[in-house]
Amino acid sequence: MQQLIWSQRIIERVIIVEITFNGEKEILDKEYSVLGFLSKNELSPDIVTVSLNGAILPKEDFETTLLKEGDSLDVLMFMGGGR
Amino acid sequence: MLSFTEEQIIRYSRHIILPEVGGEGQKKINEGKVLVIGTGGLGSPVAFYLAAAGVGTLGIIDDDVVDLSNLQRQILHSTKDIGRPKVESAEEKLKALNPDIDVVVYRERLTSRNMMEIISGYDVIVDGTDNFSTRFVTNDACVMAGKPFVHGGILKFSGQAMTIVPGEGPCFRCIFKEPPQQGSVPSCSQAGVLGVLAGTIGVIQATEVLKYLLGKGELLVGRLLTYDALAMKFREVQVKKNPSCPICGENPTITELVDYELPACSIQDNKPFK
Repeated sequence: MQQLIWSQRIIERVIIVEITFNGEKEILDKEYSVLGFLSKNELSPDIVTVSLNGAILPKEDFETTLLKEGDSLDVLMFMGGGR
Repeated sequence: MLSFTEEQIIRYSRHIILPEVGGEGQKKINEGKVLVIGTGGLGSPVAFYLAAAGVGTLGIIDDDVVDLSNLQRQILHSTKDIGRPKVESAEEKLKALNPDIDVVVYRERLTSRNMMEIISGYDVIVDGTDNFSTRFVTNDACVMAGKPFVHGGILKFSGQAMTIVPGEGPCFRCIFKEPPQQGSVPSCSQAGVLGVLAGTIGVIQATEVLKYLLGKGELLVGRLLTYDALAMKFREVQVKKNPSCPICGENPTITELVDYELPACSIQDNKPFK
């Protein structure tokens, strides 16, 4: 009985969020802010632009915006001209 | 009445035979005035194909000289051109390919000072620049002057392209509000780029120019096309006009052109773009 309660508690703690990242499905095992998600993917917030559900997300909101189930995130990079 | 010489009819026959182009469309191309900014990685294929297509006036602007390390991707230049001004080397190749066209050469850097005057003589502006200052100033100038601007960028194994038609869709600043912070970015030579990417993206830019001149097809307006060479995948990201855009938004805060002091080619050593 004690064991069952424990396992239930563990299940409750696991947050599974499915998002679309650059056109592909991705499952997140915990809650991420946009900033946290960029950091997980080793993407510096200084050189990218984020489009969240079709709208450009201001950089000021990267830290406070949490990724929710069904979100569609596109990370657009600054790119040069190949000189 | 369309007047082509015998030679022009043969030269452009594969265009003229296309119902979407025809003699009338070819005339539009021949009368087109296109400014290509930079004669490097992107500028080379853009200018080369536009010259081949018969774009009547082709402006090329670059203040750089040809370096051995350019030749892996900058196809307008040859080994014998090392040390020559890029515009001089480019002009020679473009005229050799098509003596029919006028190549207007600017051996200088495009800045806020000369920008408006130079772009005023052209129908379409193509971004083949290696630095963000020029790219942002060009975007701003094109928005102010109402000129279409075809953006292209390459990085490592990835590329992107988008066409900006002021008033019809988002501009470059709607997506990338301002240049990345100085210091957050190592140089272009450190990051590297697969040479052929310049061709892939440059030819897409040239295609957009021809479509614009012809008035045919769907331009990449409001659609940022991204390309991943390793996965060999193209993807389209829908982008909207940003109402708070500092240049084309409802209350623009940029009312005159300003240059940014930035290192060439802002790139950070990231993993290949997914």
